[in-house]
Amino acid sequence: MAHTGVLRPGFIQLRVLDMPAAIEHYTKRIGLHQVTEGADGRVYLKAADEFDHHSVVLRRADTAGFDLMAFKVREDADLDRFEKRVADYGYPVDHVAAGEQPGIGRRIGWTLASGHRIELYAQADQSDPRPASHNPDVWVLEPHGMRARRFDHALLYGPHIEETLDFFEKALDFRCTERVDLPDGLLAIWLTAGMKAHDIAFVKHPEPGKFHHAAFELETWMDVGNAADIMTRYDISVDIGPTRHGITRGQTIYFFDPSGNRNEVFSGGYTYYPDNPTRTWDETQVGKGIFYYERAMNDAFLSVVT
Amino acid sequence: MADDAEAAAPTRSDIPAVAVVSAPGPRRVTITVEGHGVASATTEERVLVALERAQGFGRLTGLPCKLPVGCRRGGCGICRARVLEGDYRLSPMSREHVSAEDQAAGIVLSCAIYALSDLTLKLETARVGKAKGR
Repeated sequence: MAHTGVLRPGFIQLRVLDMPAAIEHYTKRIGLHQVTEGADGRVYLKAADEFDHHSVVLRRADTAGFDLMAFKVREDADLDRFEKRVADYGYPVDHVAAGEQPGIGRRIGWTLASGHRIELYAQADQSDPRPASHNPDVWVLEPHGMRARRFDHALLYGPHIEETLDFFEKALDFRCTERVDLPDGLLAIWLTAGMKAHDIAFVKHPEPGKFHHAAFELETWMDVGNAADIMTRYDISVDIGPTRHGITRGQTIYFFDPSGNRNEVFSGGYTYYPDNPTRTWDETQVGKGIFYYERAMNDAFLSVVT
Repeated sequence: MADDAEAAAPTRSDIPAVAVVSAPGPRRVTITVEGHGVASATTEERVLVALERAQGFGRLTGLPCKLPVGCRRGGCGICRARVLEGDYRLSPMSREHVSAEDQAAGIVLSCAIYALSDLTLKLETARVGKAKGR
């Protein structure tokens, strides 16, 4: 597949209330590695199966939640092309200098109608640990904790979901893999830049800029079970699971970091081709779409966000 | 006790029949949720976790809805409450949901407090987004 333009999610920056507790959670429990700490105190993390410098950035703050999510594009010239398309769509675009985050080249950024900051960048240094690329073993360092293989996607909550869908399709060439339509309108969208069932998703919500979860991909359903064992052993706050999503088909657990930001670990999910139809859900089956085994949304799904 | 025994090489009569541990451990306290019932808790657990357990045992009645439980880690704000009486210690809570003035007035996120004595709480569930059900 000729994959051009926006390649995939690159990194997410989250606010945490207690940095040492957050580092322990994301490294020892989820299984990420700390790459470095910036002069301003931000901490940069990655999974050992990712090549690029980092995929999770933690920023100490007095509120929890979402700062930004950045996608990697294929080449530097893409940044100029997308800057024009985003500006033509009507969103003011700003510039972040190379090195504002260690190992990351220049970025462009803007705020969605949903209230979330999105960025694009083309260049990232690699960092260790990383996968081997010549006669590669399946891993270089033994996977630990929940054995996360990558930061995979985020689910964000905010208003103006129709506009957000239109923007991602028209300005960034994303495809909508699945959507939930209720009698009073569009409730939720799952969007991909490539062949994963989702790279980013949105649920309609009155408050702008809210964060539902950041997801980490695991290799197998057995790893989801291992993650559940770790959550009980270390008294991690669990929202729901292990269960499965009808939407994307991912086998999943929703849980919370020590600052109340929701995390997901999941395995599976189908492969999306750009000629596939958008899968659609209505109000009669939406419970099964969100949590396939429970066949109902839990109280927290629509109301608990940071 | 074992350490003491090794250090002092006691005679048989020095060894107590029962080793009573008097180290400060969790203490039992009661949490009264005004108008809804009483939960038993320890000083080592988050108050919200004690309330969830009491709800499971049917000891909290007449709640306007199920006990609002979200992240259980001080971030989402859904378990907001006012402490009317008693002492507690705090773990981090998001300022988005409890301002410094709120905090001074006894507003807490019940998942972020640990009781140090018996407590009386009033639930003050925040209007979170579209809220419950649908």
